[in-house]
Amino acid sequence: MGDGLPEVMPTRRVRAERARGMTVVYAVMVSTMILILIQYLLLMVALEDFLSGHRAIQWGAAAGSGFCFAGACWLIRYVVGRRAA
Amino acid sequence: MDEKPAWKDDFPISWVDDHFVTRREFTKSLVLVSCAAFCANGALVAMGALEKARGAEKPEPRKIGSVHDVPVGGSRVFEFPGPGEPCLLVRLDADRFVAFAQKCTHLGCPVLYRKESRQLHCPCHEGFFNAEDGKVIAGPPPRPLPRVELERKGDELWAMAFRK
Repeated sequence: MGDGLPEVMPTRRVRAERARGMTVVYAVMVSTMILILIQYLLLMVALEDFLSGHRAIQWGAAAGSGFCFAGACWLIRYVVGRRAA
Repeated sequence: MDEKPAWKDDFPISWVDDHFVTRREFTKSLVLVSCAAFCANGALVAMGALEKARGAEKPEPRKIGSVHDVPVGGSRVFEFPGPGEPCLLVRLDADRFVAFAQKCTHLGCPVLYRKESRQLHCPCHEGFFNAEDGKVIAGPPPRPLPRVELERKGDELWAMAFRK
């Protein structure tokens, strides 16, 4: 470009890959936060159920929370895997 | 020109020692939060199962006092079937005693007897129960109060079991 920029500046492709990588990290972060929010709601429902002594939906809430946790674990592999690569 | 600016002496920052939290690390820590939420849900299930198992055992009859301890229209708290499980004994008439678990069936707040309306009142969320049978009259409680079966032996009152 002839504007005196140093040669070590990342190329366009590297920049694009880096941007894509960050998009993945952000996507995983936001998705995990949504899953945690769902888990929080499930926990509140289960807690109310427990305090009222009803015990009707505790198993369902725990299963739902487990699915969310599994989903978070599944998502995190994108972040961990990319780091390792 | 290599002179060190004054602020560097006042606020020295070692970038090497500074602890950064990257977005990746933060995302990983979110998974730990998710794990904690799952564990908390599991703990609630376990506690529920434990309480259910304990509730299935037949409680030992327990002497809760004398009929003279409670005036007509009065009430008294006692523990049944074990410590930390409060129940409320109410003397409706000279010869009529009723007892209920004191935990509101909504969120577990203690209920109190209201003599003038002959109701049990939960002050947390304005739940009302009939003092005769423990049924819900108003408010958010979903179920009646568990009733304690009483037996009178002379002047003594005994709590026998929870009525199913």
